[in-house]
Amino acid sequence: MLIHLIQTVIVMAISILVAYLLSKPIATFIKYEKDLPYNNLNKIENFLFKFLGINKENSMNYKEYLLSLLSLNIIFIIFDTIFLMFQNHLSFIGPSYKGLSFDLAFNTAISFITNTNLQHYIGETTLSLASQMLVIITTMFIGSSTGLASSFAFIRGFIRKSNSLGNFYVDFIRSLIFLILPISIISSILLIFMGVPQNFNPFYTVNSFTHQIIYSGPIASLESIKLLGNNGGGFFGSNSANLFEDPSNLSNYFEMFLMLVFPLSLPLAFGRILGKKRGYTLLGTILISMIIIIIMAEFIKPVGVISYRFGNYSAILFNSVSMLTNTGAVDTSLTAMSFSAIIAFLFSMFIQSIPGAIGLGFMYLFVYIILTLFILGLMVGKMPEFIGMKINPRDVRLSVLVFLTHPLIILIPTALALTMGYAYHVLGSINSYTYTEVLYEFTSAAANNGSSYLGYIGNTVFFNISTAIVMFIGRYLPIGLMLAISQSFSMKDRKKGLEPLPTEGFLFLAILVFMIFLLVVLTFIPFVIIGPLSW
Amino acid sequence: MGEIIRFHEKYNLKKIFFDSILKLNPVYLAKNNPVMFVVILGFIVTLFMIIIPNQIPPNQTNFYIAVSLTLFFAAWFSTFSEAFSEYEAKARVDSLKVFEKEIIAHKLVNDHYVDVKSTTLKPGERVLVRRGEVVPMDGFIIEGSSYLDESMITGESEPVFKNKGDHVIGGTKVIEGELKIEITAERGRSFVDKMIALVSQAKRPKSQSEISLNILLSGLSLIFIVVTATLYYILKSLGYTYVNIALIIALLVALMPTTIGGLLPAIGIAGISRLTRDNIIAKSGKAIEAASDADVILLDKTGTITEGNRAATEFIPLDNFDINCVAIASYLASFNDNTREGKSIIDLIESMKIKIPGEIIDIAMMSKPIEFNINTRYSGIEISNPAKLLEYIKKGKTCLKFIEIIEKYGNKNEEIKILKGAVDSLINNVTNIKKEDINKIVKEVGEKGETPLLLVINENAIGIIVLKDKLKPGIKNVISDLKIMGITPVMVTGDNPLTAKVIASEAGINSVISQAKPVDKLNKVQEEQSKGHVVIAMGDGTNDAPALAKADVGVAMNSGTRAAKEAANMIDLDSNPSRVVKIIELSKQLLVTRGAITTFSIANDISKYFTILPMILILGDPKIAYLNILHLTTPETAILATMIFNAIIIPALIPLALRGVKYKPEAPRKTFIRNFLIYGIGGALLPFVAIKLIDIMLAILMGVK
Amino acid sequence: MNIKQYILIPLAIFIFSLLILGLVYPLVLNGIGLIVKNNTEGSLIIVNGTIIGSYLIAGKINNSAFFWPNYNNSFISGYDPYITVNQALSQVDRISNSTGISKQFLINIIYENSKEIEQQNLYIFSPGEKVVNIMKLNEILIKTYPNIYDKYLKINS
Repeated sequence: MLIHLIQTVIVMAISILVAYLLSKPIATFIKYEKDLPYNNLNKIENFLFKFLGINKENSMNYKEYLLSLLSLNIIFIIFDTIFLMFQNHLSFIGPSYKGLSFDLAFNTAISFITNTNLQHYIGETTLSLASQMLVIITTMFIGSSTGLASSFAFIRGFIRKSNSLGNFYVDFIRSLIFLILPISIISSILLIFMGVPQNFNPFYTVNSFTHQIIYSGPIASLESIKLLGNNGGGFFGSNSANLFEDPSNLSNYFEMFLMLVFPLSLPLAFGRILGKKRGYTLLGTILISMIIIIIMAEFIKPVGVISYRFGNYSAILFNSVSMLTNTGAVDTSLTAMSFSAIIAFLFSMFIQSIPGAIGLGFMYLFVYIILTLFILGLMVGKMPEFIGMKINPRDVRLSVLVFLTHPLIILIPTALALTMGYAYHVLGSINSYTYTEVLYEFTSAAANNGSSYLGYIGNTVFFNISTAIVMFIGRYLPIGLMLAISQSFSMKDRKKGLEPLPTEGFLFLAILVFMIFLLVVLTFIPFVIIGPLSW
Repeated sequence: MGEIIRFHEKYNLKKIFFDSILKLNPVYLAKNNPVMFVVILGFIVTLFMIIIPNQIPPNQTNFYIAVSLTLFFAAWFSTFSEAFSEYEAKARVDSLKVFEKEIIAHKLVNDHYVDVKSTTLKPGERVLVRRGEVVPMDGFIIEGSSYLDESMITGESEPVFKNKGDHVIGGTKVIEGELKIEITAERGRSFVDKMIALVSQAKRPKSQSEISLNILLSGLSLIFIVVTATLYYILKSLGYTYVNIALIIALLVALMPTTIGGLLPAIGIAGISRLTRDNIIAKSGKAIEAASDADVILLDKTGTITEGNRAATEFIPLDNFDINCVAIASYLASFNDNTREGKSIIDLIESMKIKIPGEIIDIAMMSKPIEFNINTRYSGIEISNPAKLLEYIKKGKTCLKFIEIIEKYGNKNEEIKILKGAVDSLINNVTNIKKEDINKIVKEVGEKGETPLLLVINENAIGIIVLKDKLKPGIKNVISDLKIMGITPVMVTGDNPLTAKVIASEAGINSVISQAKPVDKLNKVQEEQSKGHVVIAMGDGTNDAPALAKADVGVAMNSGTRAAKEAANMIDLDSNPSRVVKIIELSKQLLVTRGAITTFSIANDISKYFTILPMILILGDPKIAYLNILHLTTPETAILATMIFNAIIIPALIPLALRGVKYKPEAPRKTFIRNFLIYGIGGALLPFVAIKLIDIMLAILMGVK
Repeated sequence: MNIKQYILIPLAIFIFSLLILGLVYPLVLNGIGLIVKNNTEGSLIIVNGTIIGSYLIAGKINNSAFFWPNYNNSFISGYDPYITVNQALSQVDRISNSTGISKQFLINIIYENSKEIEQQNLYIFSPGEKVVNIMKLNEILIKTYPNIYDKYLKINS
């Protein structure tokens, strides 16, 4: 018990410490949308921008920003789909697996670009190493950098008065080149030291006292970005349960750290710009909500030992952190999880922002903040305001739309899958357990999480196409709406002086935690009652 | 206006009833109240399910009829509360409007008067109003002056004197004299009409927070529609075959924020109605919202913070004159001064128990007054009979020093003048003492925020009369209330910075605009607005009009000029500037009431889920019984109990909606915590208790064990 | 429609990313990984130049001369080679009976390996229960008792 507490405290402390260090460059990238205050970085990025044709001075409004973001992402969707469909012809490193069907290739492409990493296939027996590198690894970087970049633009709306949010390509390149890629390289090296393989051999055939095929490949280079970018898609079908992805309990905790570090750095970066206390309040909100979820996940113990090298506690903690950060990686199968753990995971994905995925999670937190402040303002007889900026009906409308999107794209396809017989087709029977699997599938897709009960059995036209649509809407519609919210704030007058009800400090933290859970519980509790709660 | 209100307060229940039934029209609800629109649709659907055969289990017809009826009542209670509050508010405003009814007006046409109906008058036209007649329309006086009876508007029984240029309100009565009035407002566009428009839910333009709240409530309703609709299909596929549309509608209506949705119109109307009750006319809902949101308020010093007129508080003798001499000289200098300042000097002498002998009064009465004028800036008296004065002094053996002065001038045959006035206007002639000595005292007086007047007999400085501004009683509380509510008061005054600062700090104000010119008020409004602040400006003069128009909330006094009242978006019929706290309180109360009932409504859902959902599921999955934490009797009683609670909570809260949630000036934190405990926690717990009780009663009624 | 902004720049970034992220990045890591070659190759167990397994992936073992893994949480490549110390100890009798290796030796290597694993997890990150890696134990057996185990390896078959 005590050792688990110590392990948890250590991994959280280190994550927060590194997040704190990371928040400094992040805050710099947010604040200095044009020239950076560092000459060396300026030289590097100016060279890249010139090479890529990017004009730093061209600041975009939210529509242009969204359109640029979509243009880049759609190119990858097209390329990934085509490459996976024709991987047998295009792969320069084997094995020469056959091309994927259109629906599976399309699902996989959307899945990775949207930072979801839902996998309706088994990596080691489906994808060539060329596909793993050019499609999977590359797209993981693009998806996560897109998320981080959009959060830069989003935060900018709150810090200065302007009618634009910055340049997407600038934010994207900075996220990728100065933050995600270098940390990914360092993390990969550390993972290699912990035993994660990194080679170009697709497999070894062993014929000795055992007979087995050991699949391998450039796993470390995938593993780091899988976790650091909150992607979650495994090299192997069994994800981090496979020892090549996560060899020891030490690496297990290291992987938790990787998942947490970016999501936790954003509230701190926000605090660096708009007042440290405000940043700590949001971080505190996230941490307390995380603790609630983790306690729920660990509350009912699973049957038997679910992982020998991690132990039950660490195995469940990894999965909880993975769902809280919307990474979607698992170090033990979901089927081994108790019902309380599954409820905790579902709620992590319903909430999406404690801390949520890189970039996006922090943006979702603002939707809760706006809705909370609105009700709070009414309760004290003040028009709601955030950091001296008035919240107007348009902000409330946009926030309500973001909040509304999530249940819509989870519940409607779940009901469709169940009533139209698609779920029955793959699951054999419909009961509270298999229903939960379907609910989980669409929740995971909508939250861009990627963990799944179905896995490769979800490889049907219906599930491939429906989850692809859900992932796409679940990613880009909220980004668009939230960038619009940010732009709306960026154009507001900023009042100096005291807030009527401070948006920092313990009272606000408590209210915010309460409201986050209240709103989500009210929306989703019936579906949990007929699901895991009646197993 | 007491009589009139009482007349109207005999509610016409028949009219309210018919109005509330008319408002159940789905088209009206779809436009004005999305939540109740869904409820009434639910009623229609369940009704059809009962009428059309084979839609519901045959042995449960009564149960479904009951569900359907609770839906109807929930919607009807809502429209009833709206009709009721509209009626109440209209009655209140109508009491102002009766004086705008059609009368005969004497319109000026080509130099003669034509009698026309008041309703035909247009702005710019001129009318004559004779003694005893009623002013036909809002307008301003172009000729004549009169006392007007405005008691029907203000409730003040004392008639108000109005002069050329002043604004007159349609419906008020001319008590004496004759007025020529130019009409400014078209029928239907006067203050009262604007107010009337605000109390009709359908016509009222919604304020920002109301729009936002409607969005939030529609969003929540939409979520619950999706939740219950998908739940229906999922339950069907999970084998809960008995679940039908009626049960799902019951769940939906239980979850939707029907309490706030049902009471929202009533809260808004009642809020405006409360303002009317306090004799405040709001021309727009936006102004009410802005008042609740104010950060800065500009207060005129004179009339708001201080009594308006300075009063003498002290005599400071100079050149060894004794205090009685200074008093006598002051008396003489002020004898003909009819201003309040002048009177306050006489009052001061009396309060000092200094008796002015009859001889002195005789002398004063026989002397020639020297009137104050803007160039000399002093006033006083010219003694026409110095010999008599001399005789009295010698006889009374007081103020022997005067003898010398009087003899000196008398001998030269010069007149003797006793003057009081601005120090700089008189000091240059003084010969008996050094200017520096006077200036030293003047400075000391000034530092205390007081105003010195120099008292002289010809070239001899005798003393200094100290005048002081007096704070209005209760103003300190007003200022501290404002500060507690987070509003920064700014004092605007024409006084010098020193005096202004002293008065301000005495009242508790930190921010002052001194030596203010009319344009400064406007500039301050703009400056604060550019910082993002919401500004309240108050005023009554034409000079104030630009600032009143620019401010987020411009409050004009009813006693003020026409221009001021046109520019303002609120008018205080009682013309009491310190009542601004009341305006802010009432506006905040409107928001707080909305917020509290919204919180209550949402908090209700937590418990309603536990009362209704497990009971719907229990037939299909007996395991779920563990969620029936209240041990409700049967699914039917539980669902019905929840529905009944859902419906009756609306009329139960009508009094609260009309009265408003208690609001007092305090730190927002306190307000929040109190309201959260009462309406949040209370809102989550109340349904448990209430539904359990209703369930027990239903079980007894239906004979279920 | 701004062709440069919405087509050319994203295309440039696309090509740049494919090169840098899809090729250069894994290649560079492969290069750096050479310092711990055994790790990058997959922690392979090599006896006489032949791969007989990996420390990290256990296969299905029928032979009673070896430590067996748990078969309840499998993945495509094989099984988790970690079992608890108690599970390992319960296999001691079987292996000793089958091979004649002393029980004490088997017990010793179990406890040594368990300590080694704690060390690898920097002690503080050890799982709650003490565990051993059966592939490591089997390697020790193979290397310590070649005359017993060589016949089971079928290296040349």
